[in-house]
Amino acid sequence: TSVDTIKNNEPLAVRVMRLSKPALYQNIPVYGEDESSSSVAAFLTGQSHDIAIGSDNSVFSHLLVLPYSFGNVFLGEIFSAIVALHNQSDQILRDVILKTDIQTASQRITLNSSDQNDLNKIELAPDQSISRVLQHEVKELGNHSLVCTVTCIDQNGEKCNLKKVFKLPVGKPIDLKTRFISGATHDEYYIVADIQNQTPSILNMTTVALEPSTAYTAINLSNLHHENSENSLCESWRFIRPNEITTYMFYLKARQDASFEEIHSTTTLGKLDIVWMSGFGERGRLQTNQLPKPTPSIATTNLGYLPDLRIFLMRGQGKCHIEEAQKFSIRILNCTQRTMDLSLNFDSSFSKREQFLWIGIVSKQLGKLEAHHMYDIELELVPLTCGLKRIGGLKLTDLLMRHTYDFDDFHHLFVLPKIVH
Amino acid sequence: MAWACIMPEELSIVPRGLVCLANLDTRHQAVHRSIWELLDKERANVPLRYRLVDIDEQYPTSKAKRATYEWYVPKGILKTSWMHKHLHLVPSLVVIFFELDWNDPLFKEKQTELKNNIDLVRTNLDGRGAAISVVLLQNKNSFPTVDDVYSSERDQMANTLCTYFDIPKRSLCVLPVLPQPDNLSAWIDRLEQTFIESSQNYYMNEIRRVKKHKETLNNITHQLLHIRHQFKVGFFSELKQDIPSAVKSYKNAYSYLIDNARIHDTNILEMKIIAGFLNYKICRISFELSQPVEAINHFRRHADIFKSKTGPVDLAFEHKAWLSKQFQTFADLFTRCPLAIQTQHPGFYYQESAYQSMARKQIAQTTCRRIEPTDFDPNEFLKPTEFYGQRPWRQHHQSMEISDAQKEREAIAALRDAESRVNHSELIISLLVQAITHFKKHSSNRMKLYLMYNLAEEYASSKDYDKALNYYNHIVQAYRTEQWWPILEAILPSALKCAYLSANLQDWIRFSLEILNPNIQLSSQIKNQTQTNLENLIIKNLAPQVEPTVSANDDKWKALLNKQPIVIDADTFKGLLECKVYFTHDAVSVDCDITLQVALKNGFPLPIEFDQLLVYFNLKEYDDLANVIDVEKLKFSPNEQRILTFNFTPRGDHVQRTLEITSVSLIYGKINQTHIDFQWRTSLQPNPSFQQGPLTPKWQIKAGHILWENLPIRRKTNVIMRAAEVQLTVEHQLPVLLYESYPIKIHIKNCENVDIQSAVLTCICSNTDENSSTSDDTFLFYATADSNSETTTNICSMTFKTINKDTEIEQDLYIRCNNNRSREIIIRLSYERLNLHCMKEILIPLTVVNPFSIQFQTMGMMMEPLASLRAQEPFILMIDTKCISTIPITIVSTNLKPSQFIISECAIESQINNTQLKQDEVVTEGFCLRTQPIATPIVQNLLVGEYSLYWKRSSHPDIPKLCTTFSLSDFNVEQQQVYVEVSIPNNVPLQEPFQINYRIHNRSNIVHEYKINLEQINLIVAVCGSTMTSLLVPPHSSSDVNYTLVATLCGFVQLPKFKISMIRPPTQEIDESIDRTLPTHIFVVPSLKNS
Amino acid sequence: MTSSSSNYYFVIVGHADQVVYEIELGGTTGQIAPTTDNRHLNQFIAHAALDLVDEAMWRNSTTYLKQVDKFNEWIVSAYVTAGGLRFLFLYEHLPRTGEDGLKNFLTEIYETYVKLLLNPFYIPDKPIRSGAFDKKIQTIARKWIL
Repeated sequence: TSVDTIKNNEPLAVRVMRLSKPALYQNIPVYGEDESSSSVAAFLTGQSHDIAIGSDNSVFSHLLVLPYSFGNVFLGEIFSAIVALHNQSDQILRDVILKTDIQTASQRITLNSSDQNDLNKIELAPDQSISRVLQHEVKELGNHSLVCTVTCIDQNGEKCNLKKVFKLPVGKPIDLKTRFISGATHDEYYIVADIQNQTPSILNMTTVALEPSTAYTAINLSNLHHENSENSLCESWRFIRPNEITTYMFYLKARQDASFEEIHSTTTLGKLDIVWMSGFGERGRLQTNQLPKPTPSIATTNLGYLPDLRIFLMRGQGKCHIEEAQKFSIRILNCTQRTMDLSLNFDSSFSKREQFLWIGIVSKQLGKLEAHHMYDIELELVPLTCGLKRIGGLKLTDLLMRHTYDFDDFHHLFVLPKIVH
Repeated sequence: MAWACIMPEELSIVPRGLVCLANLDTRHQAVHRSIWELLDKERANVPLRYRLVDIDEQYPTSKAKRATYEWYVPKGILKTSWMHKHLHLVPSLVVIFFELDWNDPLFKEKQTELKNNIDLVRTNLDGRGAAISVVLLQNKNSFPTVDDVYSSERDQMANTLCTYFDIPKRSLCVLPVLPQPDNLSAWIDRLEQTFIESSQNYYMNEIRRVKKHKETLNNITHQLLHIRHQFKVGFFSELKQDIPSAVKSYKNAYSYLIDNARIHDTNILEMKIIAGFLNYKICRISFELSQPVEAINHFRRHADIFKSKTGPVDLAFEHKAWLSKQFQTFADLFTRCPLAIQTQHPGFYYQESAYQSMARKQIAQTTCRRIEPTDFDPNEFLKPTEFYGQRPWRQHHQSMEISDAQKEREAIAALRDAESRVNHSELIISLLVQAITHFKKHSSNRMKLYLMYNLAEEYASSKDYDKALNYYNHIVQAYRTEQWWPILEAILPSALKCAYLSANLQDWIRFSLEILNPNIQLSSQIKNQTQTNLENLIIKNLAPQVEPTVSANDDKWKALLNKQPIVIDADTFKGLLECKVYFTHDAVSVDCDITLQVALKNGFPLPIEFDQLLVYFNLKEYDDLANVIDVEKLKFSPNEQRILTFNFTPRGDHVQRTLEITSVSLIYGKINQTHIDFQWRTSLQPNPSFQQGPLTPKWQIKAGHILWENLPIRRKTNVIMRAAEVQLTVEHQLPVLLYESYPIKIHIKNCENVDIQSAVLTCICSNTDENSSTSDDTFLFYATADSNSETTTNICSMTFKTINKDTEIEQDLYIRCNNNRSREIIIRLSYERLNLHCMKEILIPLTVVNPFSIQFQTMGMMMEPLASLRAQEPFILMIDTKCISTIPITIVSTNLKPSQFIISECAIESQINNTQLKQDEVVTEGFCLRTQPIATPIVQNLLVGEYSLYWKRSSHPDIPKLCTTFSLSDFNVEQQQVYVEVSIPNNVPLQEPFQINYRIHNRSNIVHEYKINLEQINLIVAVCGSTMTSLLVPPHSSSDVNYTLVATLCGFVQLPKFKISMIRPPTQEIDESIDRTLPTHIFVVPSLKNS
Repeated sequence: MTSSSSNYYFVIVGHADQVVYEIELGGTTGQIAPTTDNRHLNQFIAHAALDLVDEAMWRNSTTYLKQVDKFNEWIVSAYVTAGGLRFLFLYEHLPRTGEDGLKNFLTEIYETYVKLLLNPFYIPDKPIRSGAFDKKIQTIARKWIL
């Protein structure tokens, strides 16, 4: 592929050709339909894009694929090109100087400055050419320009300048979208990352990991299911075909040993580190910025964001039988900077609606609670009907501030019928 | 002959161009004969008529053509000889055959001879425009077929010959047929084409010539010429086969005749005859062109116009004759047309023709009489004329005035004389017969009847009484059956007269009886006379007296009066004499008397005395037991009805037989003399009245007046056994359930005053519905142990040795019915007592019902109803069993046996053992099954399996259980191309990762590529895996897509939406119904918290 | 066939093709015409026309069949009742009220006949011998044929 911007009245012609390695046709292995329809011939005539794949289970076929067009340069790739200069006039040109630069949105990078000296002021006889190979690792997105500037002196001693610009758009190899899903309790997050392959070749995702920030630990949930996958020929989740999306999921929760302040002062959750290989194994790598901690919205979590008081379920059954008393252990945390004087009450309409009965403590003075301190209490209830019940209806009243906090539900209980023997 | 109804033969001949063939020696030359035979052969659509002539044939001379018509007064319209002349005598072409080879050694001599022949013919044609053709018969061997050199030489020779003969070149033909022709007919076909051309050319010239006169004609003196010329043009056009022009010319002539010509008494015959000719031609051509409506319309107009143009009153019969002939010829033409329908067919025209002839006959009989031959010579007035339709005694007379009145009177007398010699009846009869044929053909039987009446009258008037009687018999019977009495009143006196005149005793009696029928309202004088005649004949052996107008026929009658029984089918004489028979009892015990009542009703107008009454039975032994020979009992006054009662004893050996009256005979007259035997057979059957019987007001019977209509009829009685003195009762609970062993308890109590010995208890199933006499659908047995043995049948019996006096015994009976037709069980106890067979019988009607109904339903795994099953996909089969009878049943167990097309997902066990069902209660079972792969995309009526129910009547637990098996068939199975199998946990704990596995099955024969998209629709469930990917699945294989999910909320949580679509082959799409098989929600249960 | 002009003959034909009722109507007065000598001829014509009525009733969806037959000067119009009874009307010239009048005449007779059927003493298909019926028919005839 060549880009040609020659005008005939110019004494010098500049041509640029991208250097690309040939690639092999690649596809995720499948078994062929039968010999004839999956043959290369059928592939080439466009009737099929199945290619008989060798028994090596490789994604490569035996077909060479010609390089992609000039325009497709992706972030992380090394851009190689050959620049040729040709004297198309009938006179000897002296002092020919070729300067090549990559102009990005933010900077200008001069290429092959190393051999600048040798090429300085060369002489070109008519019909003589010189060429030079350029390489550049693309680290920036957006439009790049390859700027070739040639200066020379002709026979008459006049200096002539020639400037050629070649457009070079740089695209993202992958498109990443992240979403946060809050867990059932505070400071639990599921981070879901959709990775879409924007390149024309299959990407082999070697690493997709989340590096949590200091207060959190992360569990990668992405490859849990691959252990018992039947399709063992390849791990399809690792390969992303062009334009396809694979979703990765990470579970983040606060470190056990992290202090309350530590957790609450952290505004980020971590960053994603993505490493892939494409084509003949060229590595690509992408690292995101620190992902900010999402502001919880009422709609997305059951517990809401309570700046003043929080309660945590410390112990409690998820399932029980009807009319069996259930004990719950609850931790009350004062998130404010002040001391609270709390009293506990229950919202009887809530329990009536959910059809259970609080027993034991129904009203209690909890006393003073220092800032960032917590208080554990035991509650007990009897479910009266079967089914899934919301557990809640607590009212905590700060006697000092004369403010009541409602805790609508902090847990669910699945009540089963009693087994009669 | 100047006769009005003339239709000359020439008119009906289809005109074809006349070609004279000269010099053909058909007698001695085989080739000549073959040529002649081929040309003369009857062929369809040949436009030419051939005639063999001698070379010196004289053709009719042509008159000098008139240059102007200025002073010419035509003598008539059409000469009688003209058509014949142009059909048979004046050729359009003369063909001279001559044997001459090109290389004949005597060529010159023969050439001269031929020239002489041609000249001779030319002279004989004498100015006629006929063409002359020469056909040279040559030796085929001297006829080189392909040699061009010779052919041009021959051309030259032919040209020379033509010049020499003075004929155009196309008139010279060469026929290489000697000595033996090959393929002669092909040569002749080609030859004929040249003939046709010449012939049509000739007629074309003739037409032109005639048409040329038209300008010189005027409308006053040349009216006849206008008609004549148009007729001629039409005729020549027909000869030329130019049918459209012909019909146009004929129509012109016709309308000129109607509109312009003066018609008066002197020329009316000529005008009518010519109009008839023109009408005939127009109608015939219209029929030939398959335009019957055109023809009919033209004829109707024709008939309407001329119906009123009677002409001279003295010759009115002539007009009728002409009209009759017009209708007849039209009917003849119509007969040849296949397009007749019921309302429009030749019969109507024959009928009208016959009526016109009848009118003619009437006029002729009243006005025409013979003349004495001495007066004058009538033949003078009947000789042929030069022009059609003119009077021989005043030919060419064109004036409206009659010049010689005396001659005119004689002429009319002569014509009347001729008319009186015509056999009109023959004419009318033949026309009527033709009309009848057509009415019959077009299913107008009642119209036919009327015509037959006309025919009968005509036969009678022509004294052909036997034939007339034949028709009278037929029509009298027909009109009587349909009860058109006034018609009969009109017919019967003539018919009776006819029978008298032909001395037909049978018919005479028959018609007399018809007249005596009370429905016939003839005068009482006629009726009395008829009965008196009848009585005289039968009782006193006297010939009947007739009206003075009828010639006496006593001699013949005398000869007839010997003994001769006349059998009369009295069933048909309803009203005159009626008979009803009535057995007082439907069945008579063998130890009782049979009572039979015979009711007779007399409709004779005068008192009558019958001689004997005989009743015949199917069992000959009884034939003499119900006879009356006492004359006193058989005296009837008018309208008297009488009931005769007979009592007789049945014979012991006739037990269980039916006694039936076959016929009743009432004899009038002495049995050894001529007598009338009235016999009733079919009218003894009870009326199969399709309408409800009339209301019978009781007061009419109270007044001692029994309405004849109310008398019952019963002609059969059964002889039965003596009734047994036992009480026979049963105890059972209806309805009977299909297939069950239905228990009946029989109680027998001996009420005789002695012990009964050897009583036989017989139980028989008699089908209520007599049509289906399948005996193997009911089984009777006395013990349930027998129920499955081979010996059980629809009858069973057992013998009780002794039943003691006044004791009661019990016996169980079981009945199994294999279909739910209702039926009756006869339980019969019989034994011998006092040497008589005694019997007691009770009849138990059984209604059989289905104990339960089965409904089955198929559902997919998401419980969605399935219209058709999907191959290889699991489905749920629900079977509802509903008790529909009033009898509670117990389902002992059930069994589902899948067919070979079905794989059961798990072990099949009955889910409804030992369940009692009352009416309208339902039990349900469900089975999860999967169909085997199917070979075709759709399989219909697949058998899923058999479902057996083991059940019994709840009230009788000791009866063995029954097995009823239902075939679960009629399932349609479709092979889906794609099936998604989803593995998902039933429920998952909160916040614990779980997996969904979508296994996508490709069931087609090609590789599929799917696009798969897992769309996250909420922020409650987190997902990882290939959420947008494509998947290649080989044929008949499957691939998995796995996702890990985490739910963060309890309860029913909506899952991400799984979407699958087809990438390849791009023409196919995945059935949307696949969405319904995918789970949409999952139940998330709270998890234990223990931190 | 001789018959006085503008005479009408009306007949009801039963299911077994028998005459159920017949009446001759004088064209000018609506009285019973005294010309009984050609009564049987009227019947001949009516009877012969039954063939065509039977044919026509299957081809038409209406009860009134208009002219079905023509016998010399006599024209036969027919009306078939729902029960399959056939009314035949013989005439030489259409009554003054025309085709519609004839239709109305026959329809009204049908209504009268239906009323007669309600009489429990009248057995369907038996000859009608009712003076009241005669009078009614004559009234209708006067109404439409006059």
